[in-house]
Amino acid sequence: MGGINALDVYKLLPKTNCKKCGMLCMQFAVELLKGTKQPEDCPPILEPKNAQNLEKLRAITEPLKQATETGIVLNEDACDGCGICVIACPVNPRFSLECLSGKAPDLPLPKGIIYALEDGKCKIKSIEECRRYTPPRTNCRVCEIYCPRYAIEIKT
Amino acid sequence: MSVETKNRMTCTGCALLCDDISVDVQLGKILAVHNACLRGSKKILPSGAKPLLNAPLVGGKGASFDDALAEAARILKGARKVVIAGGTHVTNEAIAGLVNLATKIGASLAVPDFDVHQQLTTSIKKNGIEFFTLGEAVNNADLIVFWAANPVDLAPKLLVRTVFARGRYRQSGKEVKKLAVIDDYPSPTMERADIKILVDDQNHAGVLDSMSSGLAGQKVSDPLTNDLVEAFKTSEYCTLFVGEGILNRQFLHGHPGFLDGLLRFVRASNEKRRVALLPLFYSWNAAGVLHELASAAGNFECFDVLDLPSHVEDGDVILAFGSDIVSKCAGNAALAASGVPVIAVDFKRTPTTDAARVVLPPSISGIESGGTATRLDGTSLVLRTPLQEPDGKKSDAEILAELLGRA
Ligand code: SF4
Repeated sequence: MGGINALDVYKLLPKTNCKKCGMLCMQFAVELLKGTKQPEDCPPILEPKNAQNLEKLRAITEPLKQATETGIVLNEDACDGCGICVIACPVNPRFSLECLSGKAPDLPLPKGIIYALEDGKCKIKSIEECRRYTPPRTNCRVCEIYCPRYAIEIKT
Repeated sequence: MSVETKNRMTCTGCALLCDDISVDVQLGKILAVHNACLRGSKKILPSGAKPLLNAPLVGGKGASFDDALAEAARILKGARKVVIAGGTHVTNEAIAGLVNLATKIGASLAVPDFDVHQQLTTSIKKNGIEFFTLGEAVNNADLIVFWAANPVDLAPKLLVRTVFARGRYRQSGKEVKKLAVIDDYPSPTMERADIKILVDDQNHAGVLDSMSSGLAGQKVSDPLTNDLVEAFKTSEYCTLFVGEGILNRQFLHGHPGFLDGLLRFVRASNEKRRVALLPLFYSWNAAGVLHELASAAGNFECFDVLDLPSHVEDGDVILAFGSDIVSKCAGNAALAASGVPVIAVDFKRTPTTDAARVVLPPSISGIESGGTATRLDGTSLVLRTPLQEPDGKKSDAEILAELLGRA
């Protein structure tokens, strides 16, 4: 399920913008990914002709409902400390401007930094700031998508 | 005693010279390294390094610096012709010293990849190509191409310092920068690239031809090459890293004309968009050697370090400066046994230091002693070091200055 984005979800919705859920279809897709709406909140998707798409939507959103943790698994043996997770993670630059320019922050690490490199290996520092963890939860997979060593896996 | 954290140290693990490294130090020992990749951490952490040499040796026995320098000077003075090997693993100051020494005593310089540098320099002059800086790759580039270059293995943080960094005109970083990789094997750099071109049978020239005709408006049959041509057409600023896969003597000798063709292609592409090129060499101060040689060209004979065995005649002397020449070129194992006197300047034990008549271990540049080095894009950086130089040790530049004074 790696790399599902709002557009993928939108394609499975009726795309009529009927607003029966209270919003436009694209907005509803975003809320589904955040976990603040469920597929059943869209009345037209419950119609029999949309049964297949409803199944697919449930397959996407079900794991997010259960995701009390981020589901990130780090394989330190595979990591060679390229630092892509540190810089690509959209949360890290919120806590360290250096990350914007491709450099790592000075120590002591700013509070909130999720990924940092220690002795050449990537370490998770503040998992509670991960976008998969804090509400509204999103199905962010940036670190997993870009790791060239496949050292990051998201299990949910 | 508490642990002190030193920020913004420089890593000399590769030519990227990352300057955002933090190091925990206690009682003159490095305890932990932050922000460096595995390669860099192994270089900085004491446990990761090769066996270190702490004191000079003369004839395999411990000696004072003064005695070892005197013996080295005596050997240099008695030589008909000295060959100085190395230069890519020492500071800019030491490289300048090597050049001065070579000029003063009429020595030759054996430089790693020298014939590649020579071909590259000639081609670049002929074709009028510009290099780019890392800053341009961060701020301006929207297409970053690695041709036969695999930074994930060899300069692991290069991708974050170019493709993933958010820049002045590329504020969403990777989202607006395309990464393309052309290589003859599926490298880890290719793994997550947007455009991957796997070259058959080292046929890089075939890819170059297709791209040239594609940019000239002709149809490109291979869909992946076509994707790259389209990316070129729509890009505003393309930075092209050219790597060791096509910048090595075997490839260049086997494919004469390829380098010129590539540079002509870059020049032609520049008519509609900006395309700049940067050769990638990974030894931490390879760029420093290039710069020094460019300014001192013509003053002395220079050749590739691999050709060293054919340049050494009986009675000559080799000064191996930060270079393990015995392991580097197969013919040199015989050379080591042949009795040609070797003076080795290296902080780690290698087959070359084992074979040397005199060993002068310098302090470790970038860890114990500073100076400057040249990053892969030609920017000179000051080496900020986490440790102080141990008492009684000398930096590579100081050892050279002493040799220069005595020889
Ligand atoms: S990429 Fe090179 S310079 Fe940077 S931390 Fe790794 S080895 Fe050191």
